[in-house]
Amino acid sequence: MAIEVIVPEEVGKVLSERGITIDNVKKVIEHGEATKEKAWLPSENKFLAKEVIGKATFYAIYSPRDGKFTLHGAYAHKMSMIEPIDIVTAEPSDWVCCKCDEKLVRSNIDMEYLGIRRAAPGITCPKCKMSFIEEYVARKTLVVAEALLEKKRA
Amino acid sequence: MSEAPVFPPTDMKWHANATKRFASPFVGVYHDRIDVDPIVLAHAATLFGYTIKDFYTKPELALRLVAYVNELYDLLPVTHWFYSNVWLDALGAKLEVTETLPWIVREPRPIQKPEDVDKLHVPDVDEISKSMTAQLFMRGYDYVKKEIPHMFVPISFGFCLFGMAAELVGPERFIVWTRRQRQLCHKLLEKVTQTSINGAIAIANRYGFAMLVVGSVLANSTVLAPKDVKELSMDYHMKLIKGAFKGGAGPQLWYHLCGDHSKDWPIWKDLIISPFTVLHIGYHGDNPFPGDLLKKEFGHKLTIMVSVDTKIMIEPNFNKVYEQAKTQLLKARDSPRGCILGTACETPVPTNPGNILAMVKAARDFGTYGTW
Repeated sequence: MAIEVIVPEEVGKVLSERGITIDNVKKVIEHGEATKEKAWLPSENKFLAKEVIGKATFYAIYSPRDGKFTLHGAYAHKMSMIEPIDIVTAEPSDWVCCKCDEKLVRSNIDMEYLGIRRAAPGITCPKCKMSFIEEYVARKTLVVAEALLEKKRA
Repeated sequence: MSEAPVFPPTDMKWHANATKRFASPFVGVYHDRIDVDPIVLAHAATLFGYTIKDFYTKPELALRLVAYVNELYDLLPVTHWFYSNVWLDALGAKLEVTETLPWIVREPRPIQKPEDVDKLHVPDVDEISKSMTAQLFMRGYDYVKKEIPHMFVPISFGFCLFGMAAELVGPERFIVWTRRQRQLCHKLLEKVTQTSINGAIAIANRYGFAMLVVGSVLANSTVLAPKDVKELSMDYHMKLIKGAFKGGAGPQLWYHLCGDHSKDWPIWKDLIISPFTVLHIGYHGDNPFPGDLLKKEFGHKLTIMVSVDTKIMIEPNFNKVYEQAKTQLLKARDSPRGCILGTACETPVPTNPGNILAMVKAARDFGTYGTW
């Protein structure tokens, strides 16, 4: 059964600007809920999940309520996540791994794009190695990096 | 020299080749040879009859001269201009440039007593955009963007946050504070870091992006224990990078660890990496940091920059530079994510041009992709 996602007006505008469809968001949330591959922000009771759809990785930040899901934000990046190469356990983030109940920590994650492998900053569960790219990195750092790699490769 | 200089146009065939070469470590398509970056700054001015003062007070001229030198020496396809005491004017320091030195802090320094740290105002992005530092950089970058756009890369500096804090207090007094007034040091470093974040955001807001250059220069193994380099330098640089990335600066990131890092280099294994990150470590004790150690410990995750000792760049012993460059190249040229040949720090103003040419010759002889 399809899940119901409540999209506040301002979040809907952001989705539209970023070219992210509600179907993309539903797939991400469904994946996070089904697999528990998601992170939890206890102070705000928000969850972060991700799913590779086509050639991009999509993320959704949401809160469950009364069987529905309220969307707080969504973003995507084109670089594919390969694996974390540095896990800095001394620098915990506020996010908690829903599988391991461990705090995600700062990490560097190998990413691949156009056949080029380079690292990017992320957050990773030190136990199961599940990793996420945070919104500011995806929206600001990676988006410029992707454009530069496209240009330099051309 | 009062007459305005007139430059021949850039040889765009050279530029196209240099651009491919410059990009090659980052895109994994190796081209031509390993790039050479002796960090040319005021050397570019004195080489052509201008003064150090000209270089630091006229960013348009400085950036054009560095661009010209880069082309003539066959170095980078971009130009740059910087000095170490960035943003300090926005924190109340009075800076002056002399005939022989870049911008230095004049006495009295803005922090005379501990309570001055509390009073220090951190300029917001609008305020810092009006600072002398921002105005100088923007004058220079606007000029490059208009006149030589093919050499344009806006850069924002957080050039040794520990050193910047020390300049506000006085280096000797600040180093004493690290032992006796630790919390005060942290309070000041927080303010210097936030100021540098706002400076990076101001540059990024104007140009759409801003390469970040961060360094641990005064915070090195000669001055501090490794745990102190981490606590008083690296941790703040990581905060600067995160804050600057959040504000839209980056994605290019150049770590410049000048000075002796023989004991503290392992702490830098936890640095933040973006897809375009270069790590440059100047010295290991009195010697250039070994290229093979840099490759072994960092080469699998970022581009490394190996060094020739800046001290030998002024001697008329071109073979010494050539041999040292060769040694470093043989140790590091096959680093998995690329290698750049540099000098341990800014090439000295009286650098003998023959030594830069010797570095380029070594890169052509031993840094040609596919020949090893």
